[in-house]
Amino acid sequence: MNAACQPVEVRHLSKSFGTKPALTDVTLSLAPGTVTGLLGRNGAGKTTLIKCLLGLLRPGAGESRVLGERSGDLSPGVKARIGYVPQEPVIYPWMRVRQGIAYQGAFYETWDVGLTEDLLKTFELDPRQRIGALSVGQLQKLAILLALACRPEVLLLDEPVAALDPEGRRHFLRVLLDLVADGTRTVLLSTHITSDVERVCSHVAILKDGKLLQMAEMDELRGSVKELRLAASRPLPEALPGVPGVLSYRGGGSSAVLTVQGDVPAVAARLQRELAAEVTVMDLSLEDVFLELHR
Amino acid sequence: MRTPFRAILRVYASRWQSWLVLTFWLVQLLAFIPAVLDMHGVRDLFPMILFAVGYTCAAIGVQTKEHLGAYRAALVPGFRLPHLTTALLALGVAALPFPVVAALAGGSALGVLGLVVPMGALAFAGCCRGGWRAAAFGLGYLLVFIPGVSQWVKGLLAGQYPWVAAILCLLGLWLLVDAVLFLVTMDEETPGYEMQFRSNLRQFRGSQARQSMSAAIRNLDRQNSIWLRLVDVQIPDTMPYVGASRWRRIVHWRRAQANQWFAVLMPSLIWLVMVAIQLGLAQPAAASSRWALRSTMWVLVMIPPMLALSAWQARGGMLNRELTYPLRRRDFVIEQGVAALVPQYAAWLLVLLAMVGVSAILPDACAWTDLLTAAAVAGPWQAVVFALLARLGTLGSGLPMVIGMLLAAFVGTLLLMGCVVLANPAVTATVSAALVLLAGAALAGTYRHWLRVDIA
Repeated sequence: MNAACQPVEVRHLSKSFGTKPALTDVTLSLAPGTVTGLLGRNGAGKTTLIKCLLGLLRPGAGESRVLGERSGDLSPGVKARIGYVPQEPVIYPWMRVRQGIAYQGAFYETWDVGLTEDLLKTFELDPRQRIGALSVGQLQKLAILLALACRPEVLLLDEPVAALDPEGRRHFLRVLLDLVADGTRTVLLSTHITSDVERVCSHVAILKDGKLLQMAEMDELRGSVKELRLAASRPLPEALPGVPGVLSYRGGGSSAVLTVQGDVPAVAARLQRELAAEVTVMDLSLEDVFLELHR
Repeated sequence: MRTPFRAILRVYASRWQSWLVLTFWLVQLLAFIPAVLDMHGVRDLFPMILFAVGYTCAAIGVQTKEHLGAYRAALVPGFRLPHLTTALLALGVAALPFPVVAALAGGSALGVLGLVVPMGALAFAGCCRGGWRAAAFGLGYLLVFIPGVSQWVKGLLAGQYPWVAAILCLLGLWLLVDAVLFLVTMDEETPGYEMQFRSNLRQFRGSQARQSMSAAIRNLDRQNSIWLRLVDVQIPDTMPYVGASRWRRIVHWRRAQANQWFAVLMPSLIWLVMVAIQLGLAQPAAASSRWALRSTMWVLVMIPPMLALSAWQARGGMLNRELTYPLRRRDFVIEQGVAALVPQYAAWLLVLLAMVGVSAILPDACAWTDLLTAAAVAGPWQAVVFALLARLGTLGSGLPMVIGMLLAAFVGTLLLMGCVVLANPAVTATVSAALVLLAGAALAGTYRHWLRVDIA
């Protein structure tokens, strides 16, 4: 599939609220069968990006497309192939769970009644309960159910597990993995829980202050940011000017720890040579990578 | 029938509010038919028509907006069309029987259409726009009752101005088309998105709060904006709860309730406009004006405290957090109660003062003895109503509150009317004393209830 046919495409997208930029020149595309974790601090633009993709917000510049159609003008056929879990689900509080499911299901030809029953059991939701009486976590589970039940080809999840307990999160991730197992569905998962991203995502996109800082495969990203531990027989310098890709450096006496992005082996070799130090390369967790990139 | 339509109709049918509106509408229609036949025309029935069509179309607007002013409308395939179709059909059903009945009775169908189409569209469009716009659109209803205009409307209904009726019909249809376009094209950045007639905190969030009119909305809706400001920045400065005097805390709670001006002034203004309307309606028959005011002021006296209380109830969700402030629960309950009662009685007194003014200007419109009766009976009744609604407000459902308010208005009006008709000071004093005792007992019971009730 060429780039023009990717299920989710964003080109030079910018969006401001008043004078405050929320997204600046964001370009990315998600290939079919990929699960992309969208990471960023609070206010980095994750929700804005997802809402622009869905056409809920109008971009100031650039464009985004989902399943080949412009986000602001999605046809019913394409909408039927998109699932969305908002950060704060709004579901009619006076309905009962069963009624809410039937109500939304009435609009989808592909609505999978069997899947809804399975998910009701998995998430331990009582179909007779009034939606207004659900806890925040239960409401989140219902929102996930509603998003998954149409068996979407593109699934956009805006912090879907923030309110779930560990068991609920585990159930959700398993359901998500089952859903994408056939390799045809595309998922964009915005979350702050990096361990979840490591568990299910094949790709990672990192937003910082509205700009796309990094978009890479999970292994590639983790492979490109490493921690180097230096041990030398003489005092090491206080800083390392001129060494490319150094994100952070904490030196003291004859040992130091630094984080490097880019060509890690080359940097390690150079430091070993110039400082006459023993260099140990350490892997970082995704959370550490995220924090280092945000320094 | 397609499945989405069935689902939408089920939603309409599953809401008790739908049945309430339908019942009111049917009662109006059933009262309208014999009235038309008896009077051989509709010229004097326009308040009835407006009432029936107005609130029904407004309810349809609220219902439609609730579904279309959410992300679901933009994402669920084919969501908007069946909703809009259902709404337009319901609008037709709400409005069209009146011109049909008028025509069957030998009146002018076009004349009635010239009223119901624009006014129904006004109510629907106003509620679709939501927030303060709904109130602004609602002002259109008040215009019809201005004395000169109301005479002209009667002529319109009698078929005296067919061309004007046709133009008004077209204007109404244009308003409907505009409302439909608004519902179809709005997104999260459109002013009014997510807003319904009933205001809520959601409308002041995120992009909504940044809309160009947001400052005006926030200023209008004190109930929300002041609280938001307190939450954001002012709590450390304005909430010296440790060591502060009880009255100072009460003042703070009143600020936090933020209904002190909104709740006092708005109902009072509404009341004054309604009195002006009532006087205007009765103007041609000056002899009946006193009775006209008598017959309405008692109900209207009940409105301010109910609105004030409902505004206070609207922030019930805040109480659980506020209960964690370093205060003993009994102090918290007493202070919240007093803070709610202060604007309630302020609104009531303002209305009473306004009535004194009306009485001074138009002695025939309102007698001094009636005002004294109003003060003696409706005064303690405010506390009874407050205690009742404060108790019902803890049940977690709006329905008991609505029923409680209707019941309170009915009983309060009945008591006042009885005292006014009897015009016996001894009876009035006895009723007043009984109400004072009842208010004391009700307040004490509600206070004890609030000490035990779950606030979550």
